[in-house]
This record gives sequence, structure tokens and C-alpha cells, in this order.
Amino acid sequence: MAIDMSQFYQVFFEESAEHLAEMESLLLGLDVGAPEDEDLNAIFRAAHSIKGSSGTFGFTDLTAVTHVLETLLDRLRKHEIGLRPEMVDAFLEAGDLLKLLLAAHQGGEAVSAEAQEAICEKLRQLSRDEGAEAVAAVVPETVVAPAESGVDGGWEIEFVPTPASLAVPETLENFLEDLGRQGRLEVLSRSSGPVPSLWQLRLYGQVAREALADSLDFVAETDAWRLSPLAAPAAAADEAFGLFDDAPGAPQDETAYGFFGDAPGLAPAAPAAMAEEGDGYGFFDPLPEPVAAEDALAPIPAVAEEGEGYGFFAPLPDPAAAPAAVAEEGDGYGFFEPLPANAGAAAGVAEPPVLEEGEGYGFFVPLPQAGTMPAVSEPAPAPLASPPAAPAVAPTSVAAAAPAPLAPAAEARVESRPKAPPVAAGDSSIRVGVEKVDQLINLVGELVITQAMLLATAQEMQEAAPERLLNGLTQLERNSRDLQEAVMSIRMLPISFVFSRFPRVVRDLSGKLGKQVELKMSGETTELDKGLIEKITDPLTHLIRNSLDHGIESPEKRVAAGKSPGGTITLKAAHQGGNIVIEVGDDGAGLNRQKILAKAREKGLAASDQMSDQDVWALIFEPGFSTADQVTDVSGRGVGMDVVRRNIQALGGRIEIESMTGIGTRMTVRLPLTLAILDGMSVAVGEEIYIIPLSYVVESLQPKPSDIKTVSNQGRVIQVRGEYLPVVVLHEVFAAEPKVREFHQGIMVVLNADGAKAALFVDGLVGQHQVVIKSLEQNYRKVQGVSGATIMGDGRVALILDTSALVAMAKGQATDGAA
Amino acid sequence: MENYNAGNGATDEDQVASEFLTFTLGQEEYAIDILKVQEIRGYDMVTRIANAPEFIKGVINLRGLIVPIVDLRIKFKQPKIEYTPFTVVIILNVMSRVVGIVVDSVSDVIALTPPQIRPAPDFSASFDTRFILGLASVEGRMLIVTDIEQLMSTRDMELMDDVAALA
Repeated sequence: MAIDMSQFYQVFFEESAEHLAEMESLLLGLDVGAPEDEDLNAIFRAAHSIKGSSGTFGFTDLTAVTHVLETLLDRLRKHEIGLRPEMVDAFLEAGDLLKLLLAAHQGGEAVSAEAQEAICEKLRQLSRDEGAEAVAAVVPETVVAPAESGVDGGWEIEFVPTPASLAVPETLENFLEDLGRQGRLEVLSRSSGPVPSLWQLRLYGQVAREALADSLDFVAETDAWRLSPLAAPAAAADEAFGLFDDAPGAPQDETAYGFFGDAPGLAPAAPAAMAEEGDGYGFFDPLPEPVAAEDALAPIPAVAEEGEGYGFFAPLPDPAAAPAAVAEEGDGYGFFEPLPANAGAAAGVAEPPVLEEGEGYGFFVPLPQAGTMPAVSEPAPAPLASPPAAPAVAPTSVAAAAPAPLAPAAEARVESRPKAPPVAAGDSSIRVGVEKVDQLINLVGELVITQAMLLATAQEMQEAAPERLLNGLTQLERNSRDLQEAVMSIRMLPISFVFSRFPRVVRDLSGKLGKQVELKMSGETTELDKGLIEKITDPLTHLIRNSLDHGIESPEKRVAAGKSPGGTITLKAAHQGGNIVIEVGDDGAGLNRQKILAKAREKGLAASDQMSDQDVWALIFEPGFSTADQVTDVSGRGVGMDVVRRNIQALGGRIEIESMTGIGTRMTVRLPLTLAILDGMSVAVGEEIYIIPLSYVVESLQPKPSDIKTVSNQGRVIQVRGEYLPVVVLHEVFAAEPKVREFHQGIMVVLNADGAKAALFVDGLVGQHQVVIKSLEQNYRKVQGVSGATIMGDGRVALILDTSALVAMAKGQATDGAA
Repeated sequence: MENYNAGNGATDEDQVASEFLTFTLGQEEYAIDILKVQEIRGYDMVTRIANAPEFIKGVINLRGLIVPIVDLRIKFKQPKIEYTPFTVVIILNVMSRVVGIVVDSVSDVIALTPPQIRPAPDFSASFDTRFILGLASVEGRMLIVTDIEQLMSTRDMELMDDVAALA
């Protein structure tokens, strides 16, 4: 196919990264003792999807690793082996390796072959270990990768056990053992539990058909079995990522990805409609009459078992014909429509459309033509799969006489299909570059400003403006506000994007430190700006590592302190006013006041025993400050908390610590909702308008002359609700020409920044609005007391006040005055 | 601003000629590299910046961009400074920043070859000539060919943080 695959690479990388992330989160959520089937399946699907698409795109290293991973997972989900903690570790490692490999393909550093082999070997080892145990208990031999076999003879065995044999499990085990003695046995699928369903075995070696048939008669329903010779060496499982699986005689879930037309090589292909393994919800209209099989090439009867196979089998017009539909493996929701009358198909070589592998929602379209259907070769609607593997048996050779239940226009279920990004059109999200979104936001911002200017102009015209114009403009205002909000929301993402990585961090670290830690998260759906999400990840990770290393004690210490051995770290996110509040809490030892003070003195920092707890805790944000007794690779080098604070402040946020000895520590990070917008209060000084971030405003009041006092005739304070607050006179700070100079004629805005309060004196309040923050430094420079600029409704620029700086100014003033 | 794009075409054949925008400040005529000029617009709606030097008039909204405006007339100590609807702002693109300068008027666009630009005479040390590339004489007018980038990034322009920090 002359399609340039590279154009899909980016999609593949992104999808794979998503699958990996999903896999990781599922793995971390697994209850090792009793894993949920659904989770195991989901993990399997994720691995499987990566394998499928990496194969399609020719990233064979990824394919190789995922194959081994998937093999083990597959056995897990089929309960052939039990889940053990070290498997989860191995899976996580494999996930990391896959991430590295992905990165390598995206231009990152290459991953050494040894590292890959090490992981693969580890997984294989796990699989083998368990395999051996499992064999002892159940199966004589379970070989994982059929591809390993080079045996050029053997049988494909499919049968449905009799209820009697199922009732006595030994019967079946004996049967398997018996087969195992005759050759290398591979169990492709088997039922567990008392419900009869299809078993698929593969036996490699020279075994007489009669012998097998005899054995089968014991355990299987009469005529409910099929033997097919293995015509060719089984196709290497991990190479078959075609659109269809036509590995001759070896329909096996490993190899089946996507759209399968046929399993043509089966010489005795039988008119069989099979719903295998439990929950195949297939609708099989045409059911061929079972025909007794005498020799190897004779058709084999259909197997439609009761159980959970909810099949609807309608009679087939021509019983002699042999269209067979096989829905294998679990949840194949196939709709097999009637294959009308292939009267002449006595050749007995019909091929069954094989719908394999789980989640295929296939729609098998009827092919009305009887007789000569040339066929098999193009059942593939999607252009992008690699050619089918194992072309050893040309499908056409078989199909000629068959009614050819082909052209399975199988629809892929979007998220789990490895196959087809193009088919994923039904997905409910699209990927768009961030710069496009930013451009959109800018444009909408411009639109809103233009609209406001128009409206202001129209309002100035007053009577002269026709009412319809004004109405239209008002409507436009509403629309553009809505538009702005909608566009802004594009950038908002749930904080789970950050949180999702922490279970892994906690798991790895607690393992390393020998601590038992449970991570509790809440508020993952809280939305915040994408820019913030990216920047908050590192500080939060650091806080969590800190809590783990310094906060939570070792199990022994905890027990000695009368606590449960396992510690808890809580991670919470919530909206609070105009802020996002993220809390990282632990129930550990708490901060040690004495230790911090001692350390502070050692570092030569100003520290006294009279300091409030709040001030003492703040010391840990000083550069180079660490109270860890030992430097570990986790923490203790004293770099970190100062960086954390700096990063958070750079985002316009702040961090607070609460701690109680023996009870725990809680770090609270407050961030603005977005980097781009802020809720502001506009105030006037003379002709000038300034914006105060609303989150810092406590209240506004018109003071009485008697409220204002001076200290040493310099610093002014105002009494507000019993508190004396320093007064900052904005027109003095900014050397502006005010309209009012008397305090009682203007307005005092009480500000609270970083726990300190001050009153800002302005001429008056103008209004309250959301403003888009623009950088002043981009083309100019930092201005004392100004944090940025914005564009007002009339197109003018207004400066946004740096509240913290102003309050700090007030503090300085007050101190100066007092001194 | 096609008015200014006419050029005089005198040295079209000259490969090394480059185009300059000329503007006047009082009696003096200056020429700056046209590639540094983004656009020319009127002077309006400038928001004052607190505690900025007198010649920094403030910032304007240039289609969503916050752009500082420097009044070169004040900077170059012109005696008569007034703001009328005809006051012109040249928006410059220098040092990957956008800056506006207020001048008395914009004259035209001319092409100058390097030989036409003669070195400026040595002024006394009290006069900063670093940003003067030379003097050119065109049709009897003397043009002060200016390295506008150099001029805007001088420390006493106080347009940049690092500069401000050093000051």
C-alpha cells in the first residue's frame, strides 16, 4: 500500500501514550489478591492496542515488548495463572520501557536492546513460573507462544465438553494430559466453570486422527468437535497484524486484529457457526446442518453451545453448504447475516468468517452471490494495515466454491481498536494544537473589545442611535461573552491530568522507603488552565515526595506512636473563590519546630523561639534548608521547597503549611484559575483606572475622618473592625493627580495579601470585570507595584496592581513610621 | 502607509542600497532602517505608567499587544511638544520587542547606499553618538542616519528590565 504511514505517526504516539497511561493507572488500581476481570481485560486491551498499532506502523521493538506483556496478561485474564505483586511491578517496568521506546521513536534517546530483553525475559519468566504451577494444577502443558513451534504437523482441536465431563473436572484434565503425552499441546482457549463452551487446543506432532477422535468422544458432545490438521507452521503470532487473520488453521487470538475474513487453510472447514467462549452475542442466521465427519477433509458440525452464547441460529437454506461463522473469544458482538444458498458448495470448503478477539463489533454483510465468489482477498475496508500474515494458504483457493461470507465490514470499537485511526471518526474529541487555541482566545479577546467599543460609541450617541442598533449591540455583547467563556473553557483541563501520576510516585517511593502509604485523592475533576496543569506538576510531585519521605513515619515508628502502620497521604483539589486550592496532607509526624529552629540558626537565619508556628514553617522554604538527617536520593539535599515556593509564586499562587506534631502536615497551594484571566475590581485615581485582583480584596469602605490616624506623623493607619491597617495612598505611590485628597471623600479598599492586610486609598470604585492579563514586560519592563496590564472595554490599557507589592510597601511604610 | 513607500528611486540599480524611513524632530531630520518599522499610526489613548521617566509616555493597546510609547521629542529635548490629532507614532520592531516612538512628522522613504552615508564628525564626549551611523545628504537635506535598535536599547531609554536593573 502506497500510503505514507508517517502521517499517522503522531496519532500513534499520542494514542500509545494514552494507552500506557491508562494501563498504568489500571495497574496501580489493581487489587492483587482479587483483580477485577474488567480491569485485567482493560489492561490487556491497552497492551494489545499498542501492540497492534505499533505492528501496523512497523515499530517492531514496541511490538516485541508488548507481545510478551500481552501474553502474560492474556493468561492472567483467562485465569490460567494468578496475579502476583511482582507481576504488577514487571508490568509497570514494561510500561516504562514502552514509554522510553516511544520517546526514542519520537527522537528521544535510544533504548538499549539489553534493557528491552531484560524486561521481556522477566515477563517470560513470570509467565513460565506460573505456567509450571498452573500445569501441575490444571493443564498438562501450556505453551504461551505458538510461534515458537516449528513442528510441521499437528491438529487444531475444537470441541465443547459434555456437561458430564465438566461436572468431573478430572475427566478433562486427564484428557489434556493424555494429549500432552502425544505431542506438544497448546491450549488456546478453554472454559472454566460448569458452563459448556468451546475449547480450542492445538496439538503439535504426528498424532493419528483416529486416536484423537476416540479421545474426543469421551469428553465432547457427540459431533460437537472438530479436528483440523495444522497445514503449515503457525504464523508467528506477533507478526500478524493484518486486517484479517487467516493464519491457516490457526485462528488464535494472538494473531487476530481487526477484520478477519477467513480461516481458509482448514482443509476440513466445516459449516460451523460457533460462538465461543461464553459471551459471544452473535446472531447467526444461517446454521448449517451438522454433517458427520469421517475423514480429515469432511465438514465438521456446527457447534453452537448454550451457555452464555446468546446466539440466534436460523436454519440455513441449504444444509449442504458450509458457511460458518465463528465468533471467538468473549465479547464478540457479531451480526452474521444470512448467507443465502450456496447450493453448489458441496466442495465442503466454506470458510467461516472468524470474528475474533474480544471487542470486535463486526457486521458481517451478506453476500448474496452463491457459488463463485472469487473473493477473500479484499475484505479489507481500511487501507492501512500491513498485509495479512501467513499468506501460506491463499484464501482464494478455498473461496471459489464457497458462498464466501466475506467482506466483513467490521466496525472497530474506537478506543480499543489498534487498527484504525480513520475509523475512529466517531470519537468525541479532537486534537488541536495549543497555539491554535491560544490564537482563538486572542481573537475572541479582540472581538470582545471591539464589541465593547462599538457599544460604548452607540451609547454615546444616545437618542441619535436607533433602538434596533442598540438592541443588536446588546445581543452581540451577550453572544461575544458566551463565546469568550466557551473559548476559555477549551484550555481548562481536569486536574486528574496531574493527579493521575501520583499513585505511581507514591507506590514506587513507598516501596523504596519501606513505608506503607495509601494515597487518597479527591476533586480530580476540578478544572484548571492547561498552562497551570503543566507547571504545577513538578511542585506537587515534590510536595508528595516530601510528605512520603519526611512526613509519613516507618511502620514501626507509627505503631510505636499508636498509629496504624500504614500512613495516608491525601491529595485534594477544589475551587475556592477565584482560586484552585490543592492540598497535600499526610498523617505523619508533623514538622519539628525545634529541629527547624535549630537548623535555621545553624544556617544563620533569623530565628527566635518567639516566632509563630506559621513563621517557623515558612523557614523550610528557605534555600538550602533541609532537616533530613540523611541525604537520600529521595530528598534531603535541601533543594526543593524553595523551588516549590518560587514556582508556585510564579504562577500567581501561594503555599501555606499547617502542621501538628504527631498528627500530620498539610500543605495548601492556592492558584489562580487560569494564567490568562483574572477577576478584577477597577478603581479610579484621577483620570486613571487601575485593576485590583478581586481575590485580594477583602472589603471597600468610605472612611470617616476620625478613622485615620497617623503614627509618628508619617505612617497612616486606619481602624477597620478593631484592626489598625496601614494605609497605602495609590496616587502617592504612582505619583498621579487625584480628584480627591481627603480620605473621607474617597474609598479605602482593604487588601489581604499573603496574610498581611493593608488599606489602599483610591478616588473611587469603577466596576468589576474579568480581564485578560497581558504582559507588560513583553515589550516594556517590570514596573514597581504593577503586575501586568489589561485592555479595557474602550480599548485603553489599564494596569493591574501588584497587590502583594503594595501591601509590602505599606508594611515598610508602617515600620518606617514606627521607627 | 503607501505614501511613504514611493521612494525616490534614485539608486534602484545600486545593489547595496537600503531603504530608510525619514522623520523630523524639530529642525532635525532622522533616517532609520525601514526594516525596523512595523507601522505608523496616530497618537491616542496612552495609559501613563507610574514612576516612568518623562519621555516614556505610557503604553497603548496595539491590537491586543501592550506597547510602550517613547516620545523622542522629549528625549531629544525639543522645545515645542504638543499632542494633536496629527502627532505621529512610529511602531518599531527592535530586539524582538514592539516599541512606539513619537516624532513630529514622518517625511518619506529613501534609498541610501553606504557611500552616501558619511561618518559623523566627532562630537564632544558629552554627546552620545553611539547610535548615529552617519550623516547623509539628500537633495540638500541633512539626514541623521540612526541605528534605532542601538538607540532604543541604551540604558537611559529605560525600556528594558536588565537595563533598568543596572541603572
